[in-house]
Amino acid sequence: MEYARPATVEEACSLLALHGEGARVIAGGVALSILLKQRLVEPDILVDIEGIHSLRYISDDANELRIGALCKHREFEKNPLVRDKFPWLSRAAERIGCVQVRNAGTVGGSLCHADPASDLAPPLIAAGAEATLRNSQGERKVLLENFFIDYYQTSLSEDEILTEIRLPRLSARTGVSYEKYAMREGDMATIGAAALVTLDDDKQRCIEAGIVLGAVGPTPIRVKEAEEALRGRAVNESSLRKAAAAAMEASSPLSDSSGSEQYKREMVGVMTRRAVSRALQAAS
Amino acid sequence: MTELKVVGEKLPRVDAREKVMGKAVYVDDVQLPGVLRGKILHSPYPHAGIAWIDTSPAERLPGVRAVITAKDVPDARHGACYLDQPMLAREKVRYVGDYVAAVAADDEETALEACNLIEVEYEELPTLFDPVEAMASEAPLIHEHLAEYGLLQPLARCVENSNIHNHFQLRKGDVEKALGEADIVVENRFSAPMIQNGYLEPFGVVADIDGQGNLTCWVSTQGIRWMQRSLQDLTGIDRNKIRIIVPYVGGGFGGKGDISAAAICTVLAMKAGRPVKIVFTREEIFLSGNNRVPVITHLKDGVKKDGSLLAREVKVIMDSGAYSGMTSMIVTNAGFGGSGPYDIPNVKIDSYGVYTNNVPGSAFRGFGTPEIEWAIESQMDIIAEKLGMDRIAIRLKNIYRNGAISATGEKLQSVGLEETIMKATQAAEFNQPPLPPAGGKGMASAHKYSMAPGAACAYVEVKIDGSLELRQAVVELGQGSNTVLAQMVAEEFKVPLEKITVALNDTATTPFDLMTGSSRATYNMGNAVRLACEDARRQVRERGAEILEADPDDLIVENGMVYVKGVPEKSIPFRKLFVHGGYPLLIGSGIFNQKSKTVDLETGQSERPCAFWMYSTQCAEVEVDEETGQVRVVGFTAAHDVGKAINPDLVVGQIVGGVVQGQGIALMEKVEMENGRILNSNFLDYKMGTVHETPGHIIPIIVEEAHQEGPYGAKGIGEGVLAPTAAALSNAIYDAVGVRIHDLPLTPEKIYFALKKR
Ligand SMILES: Cc1cc2nc3c(=O)[nH]c(=O)nc-3n(C[C@H](O)[C@H](O)[C@H](O)COP(=O)(O)OP(=O)(O)OC[C@H]3O[C@@H](n4cnc5c(N)ncnc54)[C@H](O)[C@@H]3O)c2cc1C
Repeated sequence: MEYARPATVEEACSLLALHGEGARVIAGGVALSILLKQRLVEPDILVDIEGIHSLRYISDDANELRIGALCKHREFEKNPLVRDKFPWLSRAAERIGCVQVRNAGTVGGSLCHADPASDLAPPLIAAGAEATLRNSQGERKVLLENFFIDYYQTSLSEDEILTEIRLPRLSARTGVSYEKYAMREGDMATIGAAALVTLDDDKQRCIEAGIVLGAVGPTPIRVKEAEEALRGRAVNESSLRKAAAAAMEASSPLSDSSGSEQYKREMVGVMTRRAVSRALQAAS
Repeated sequence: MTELKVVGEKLPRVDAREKVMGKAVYVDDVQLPGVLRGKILHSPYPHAGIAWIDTSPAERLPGVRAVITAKDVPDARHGACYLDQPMLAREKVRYVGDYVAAVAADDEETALEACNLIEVEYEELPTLFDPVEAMASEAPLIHEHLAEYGLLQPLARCVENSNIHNHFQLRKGDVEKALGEADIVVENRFSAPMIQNGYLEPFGVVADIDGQGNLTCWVSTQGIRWMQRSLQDLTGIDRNKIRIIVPYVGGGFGGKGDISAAAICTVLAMKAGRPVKIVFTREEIFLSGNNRVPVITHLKDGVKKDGSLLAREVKVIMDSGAYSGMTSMIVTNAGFGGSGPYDIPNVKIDSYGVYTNNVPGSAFRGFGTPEIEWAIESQMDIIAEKLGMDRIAIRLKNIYRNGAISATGEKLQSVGLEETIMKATQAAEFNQPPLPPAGGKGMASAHKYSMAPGAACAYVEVKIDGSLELRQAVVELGQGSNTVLAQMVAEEFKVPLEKITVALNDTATTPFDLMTGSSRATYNMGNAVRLACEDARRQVRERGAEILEADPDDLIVENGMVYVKGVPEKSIPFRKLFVHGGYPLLIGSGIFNQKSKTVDLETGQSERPCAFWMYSTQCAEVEVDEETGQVRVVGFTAAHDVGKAINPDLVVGQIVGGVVQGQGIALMEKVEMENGRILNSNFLDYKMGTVHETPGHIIPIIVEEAHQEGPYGAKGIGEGVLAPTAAALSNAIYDAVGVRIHDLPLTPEKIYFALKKR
């Protein structure tokens, strides 16, 4: 197996174009090194993008937050800007693995790895994040919601690199929250539930809602029915119950050592309720 | 008793510095020139005949230096009780993971690749995964020749033509009659699953054979002499040509020391003519069959209205998997205390060790006791509730106290149980209401035996510079034995701890010790060390008497000096003892052999079935999330009767470590198996508690009810800590939300669904 460490995005992209299927991007290596060890992935060349320093930034433009793909989980967990303006995102990052994982793992790696249990995907999707993908020809943008295709599969093509995540500035009276259920602190999510709630001027009715589940299907699941149960109404016991029921209905968890399908589905309901309630609090 | 200066002090561990600096040596650090890496090929089938094996594709791979199968090794077997396990499967495999062949190659990758090239033709056989089914008389046999196997433990009795390799029975009084006379009869079944020991350092072994055919084996094991003996049996090398060296061991909890793998490593080294190293991956540790044996416990108790226990009937089934390992011994030893720490006039215990085609289970911190105490202490709370009785009161009504006659007929001494109950419940403020809305408190008491018979030996060498070297074979697994034993030497010679060195474990230089297990080191080796010190001091006095022209009995040995009592100004340093008359060597030796009294095989009666008993009480406080079933452990209070704390800090270390380990076991640990195949053989999928799950606070309490025969009154601590933990937690969960779980672990899912049914 060969190893290359390009210093620029252009260089990395041309390596990918040259080697096609045989090339594999490695960022923090947290996820990929396990696959390599188990020989589930056997590339001809590893393209290590960690040397591309231009992909490691967090910046705040007038209308959006921009996160470079090589940003470490730990960085935006601790970043004052994120903590101040997007506290829900730094709280979600805080829940990822242990400090070692957060120091090594990157935002781009977490999303491109496309483990449905990623803690970042659900809240980022709920908040309308967009991904920038680059190859030697140029770049394109996709809504993160449309980025995930199946277990460990994304709409990235072989020769593309994810370079940036952009998060639109949220409108006033908007709250976002992410709830994670795991057997132990530091485990991958058994269930993740993110909620976005925007209230009207009087803070009486919900005018915009986003509900996204993690870990309970092949990709993060946006639950439109749950959003509809909230949108245009006062958030109360009855709408909460409807949203939770819709989320349970939309989820397709699998039985494993952290719980049976039935239990997990029940927990989807509990976590959805908790996420919406917290988002509501943050919005008010 | 003279005043103690070093024993009883909170001194830092003698190995702390080198461990913190990363300089302590473990097996994997042993580097020999030209060493090869060994790998084992495991069976993919739970039960299958081996029709043929073709190793030639592996042998042809460049870099491969030796390939072995059963036909390359003597037809011999090993075991702690029954000699039932070959180092490499002959005729058939009995579990998914059974050792089938092995390779030594220039590096690990090549060895692994070669293993995958070995072709094996299997013929599948009927399988058994449920121990209760395996006990049935018509069940297919997993070991057809069980009754013919060699037996190392006279107390084990198999049931011929069955899968039951040991049936222990205890009979006291008339249980049938007493159950009829009881006001209430309470019957329940509890279970504890297979769990993994989860030590940090993976098992490792390095084997090297010199030009004279002498084997030197560096190995991480808890049983040095057992390893030596088994290697002789399995490889045919004479015992006097086998040298076992055990450097520091990174945790064991009863599961360290894979005998088959050490023998395989040796045979590979013989065949390749070069040293070979095998270090297990985490997956291989799970497969090696040293996991904790799963246990099912049935209890049937007859109780009077006033809470006194009239009768207890106990049936215990231990699923040892494909080989009996330590399980046969666990069946007997745990059977002795199988009715709990209570004075019950009528007791009937039947415990069984059963073969199945599951991955073998064996010893784990507590040797069967925590699994049975989990059942008993859950049951005690169930009884208390049925009678409307206080949970402390029902225990105080029934517990063993000094002088009580135990279930086996032993007159008990050094019983500090009541004190542990009083101190733990007081410190835990057990009678104060728990946190609202879903907080709860639970308690559990327990006893744990330490095995007998068993010998421990020690040498203490007095050095010319006044320092002392202790040579003994208790393995330093992290428990602190080197420190505790060195403190005893320092105490006996009245010198500071820095004057003592503890030698590396090496059969060439350190004398016999039965094994590092059963919480026996402080008591047994402690006694041997004191005897060795006494012997060395006698020699010091005799030599000093010559120089000082005094009666040896009038001499005082202190601080590296000898002097006539009352005349310390005329003292002479140890150096003089060596120079005078030309005696350059001074070694004291000590042999301690804790005897037991005969056990009646029909009734389990014995006036002394074990060395000593440790007693404990723990209180847990929890908070339950009623929407999810998740449990947060608010706090733990753990009171343990250790006889005498030689080093209180190390006792506290054992208590705190044990509570944290026990909490993980109670709440989440379980080896998941499907048709004999382990599904979670790595630390991502096998959940153990981490630092995040540790209780909010732990209050350790040391109780010292001296044992007449213990060194300075000491008993032990290690295993006792796990005994009450699971039940204390389960009882706290019941107190919090009224949900009683009968099968460990106490997962949120079980609690959640039980809550829905409530
Ligand atoms: C013990 C442990 C615990 C964990 N716990 C959690 C948890 O609690 N929550 C959670 O969300 N995650 C968790 N993870 C997963 C981990 O955080 C993410 O998978 C990690 O962040 C991946 O980032 P990385 O930079 O290491 O990616 P890598 O391992 O380097 O790469 C992962 C994949 O993404 C591809 N890739 C990486 N970067 C790019 C890019 N810029 N463009 C295109 N492709 C790219 C690689 O080719 C590879 O396929 C855990 C992982 C471990 C090992």
